Amino acid sequence: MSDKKRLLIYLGLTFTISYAWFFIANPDGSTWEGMGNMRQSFVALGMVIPVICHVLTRVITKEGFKFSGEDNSYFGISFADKKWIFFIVACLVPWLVYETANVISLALAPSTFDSEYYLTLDIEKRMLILMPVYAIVTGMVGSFAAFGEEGGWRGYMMPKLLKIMKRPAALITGGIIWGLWHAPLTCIGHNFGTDYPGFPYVGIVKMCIFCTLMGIMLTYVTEMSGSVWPAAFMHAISNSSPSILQGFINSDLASDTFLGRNAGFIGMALALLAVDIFVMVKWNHYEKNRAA
Amino acid sequence: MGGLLYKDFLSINGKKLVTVLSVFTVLLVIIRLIVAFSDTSAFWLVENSEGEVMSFLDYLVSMPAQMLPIMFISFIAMWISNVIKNDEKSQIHAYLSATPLSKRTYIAEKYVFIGICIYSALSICVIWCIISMAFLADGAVLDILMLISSFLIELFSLALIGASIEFPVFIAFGKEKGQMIKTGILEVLAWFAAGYLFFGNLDVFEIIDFNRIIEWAKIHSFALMFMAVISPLITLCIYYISYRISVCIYERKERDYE
Repeated sequence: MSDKKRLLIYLGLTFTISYAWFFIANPDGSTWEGMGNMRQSFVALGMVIPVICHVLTRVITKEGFKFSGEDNSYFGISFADKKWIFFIVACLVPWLVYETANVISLALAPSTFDSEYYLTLDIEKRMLILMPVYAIVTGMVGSFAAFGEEGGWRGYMMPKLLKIMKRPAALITGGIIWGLWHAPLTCIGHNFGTDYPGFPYVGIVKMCIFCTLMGIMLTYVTEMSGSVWPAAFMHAISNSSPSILQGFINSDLASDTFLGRNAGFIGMALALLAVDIFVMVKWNHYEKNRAA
Repeated sequence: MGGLLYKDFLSINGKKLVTVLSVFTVLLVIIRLIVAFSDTSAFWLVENSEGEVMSFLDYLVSMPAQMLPIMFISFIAMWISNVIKNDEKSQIHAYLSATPLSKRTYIAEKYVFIGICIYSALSICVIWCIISMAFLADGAVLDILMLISSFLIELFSLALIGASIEFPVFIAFGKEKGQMIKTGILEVLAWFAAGYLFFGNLDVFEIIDFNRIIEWAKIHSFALMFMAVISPLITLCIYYISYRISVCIYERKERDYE
């Protein structure tokens, strides 16, 4: 069976089961904000579906579950050849990205600075200092949900896309597919809320851009380490928002201009873009060295 | 190492366990959704000692999530003795000595395997708690589940510390003697507990108030956050030290054997 066919089976399964889950878990169509923390976590359990579909696809297509070599599942872990560096990078980069994104966001919309915003989040001031470390530790310990996504997207979809097409095209296609997978959640206000011009289509486009930028970084650490685990840690830590500045940014204070409304997104996109440029240069350099 | 991990996975009936847990997880989701989106939650309304009315069905659905962590903790202790017992039974040491596999890798595999088991168990407990809490209204059942989920990391850190103690004992003395030492210690502790129940001051148990613990957890969020950060790091250090001790014991034991 060709890689293209296998990829189509995987995408068919993932989108069908995930969209069905997002509907079943939220049958009354509540918005993300309106459903409360407990139900948000329940709906977010859909994150484990990509890795389940990865396993199902391998069973259906009789591809097997190799832990190394070509067409491996990327579930294994190896620290050989200094691959452990990618695990440390995966833990620290999200923190750097989030703080940089928040600095850019504050520069773009200074009115969002609120010196006591953390108090409204039920966070003590001394807890703010611990927030990044807390996000890293809890992100790593509770990384099963992020592993659920990365085990599917980075463990199955991206290796297949990288085989079928050239790297830049594969990274952009993978990012768009990943962004579209989030569409049911974006439609109920996850990530960007429901109160913005062009809802929900603009949100879906923004999610595709975000996923493409984030996906480049995640695919790089997966390919370099030969494991989805650094990407899973990176994803989990990112989801925990490892940032001290976050406690001082109140988006409700943003001016009703394009820049004011999108300062957070632009800040994050620029921070990720900077990391992606660095990653692409390193990746090209690595490929050249390997070819030589 | 992959082969050894798979061998240990089979020795604890891993395939059967994964199937059973997957089926139960799906069943729990279905039951949770049925109870949440039908009129069944209006039946069996019960009142607790504080006059709070709650659905007995909600309580029943939350029971598996309440019991699962304790079940896993006892399973993990059983798995440690099982993987050692299985290796002794199949005389794996003789087989491994004929392969290029180092003694250090063999011991590391045991630690990695139990580490993976504990991580998976913790993840499943979190998933079951999320499913059980999804549609619960504020009240005692939700409070209990939230308390359990906030202490899961600490609970499984304790399991890892337990494994750090058990592994060197089992590797040094073998499964039979190791199990005897473990049972002996547990029996002594049980006798102490029984003795305390007969002759000790039982008034201290009356002071324990579940609601006060919940309140304490709400007030001391910084302390809990600090514990959540520090306990996995300390536990991993202890686990690593235990691994180094086990390697020393195993290498010395094999040297004597050779």
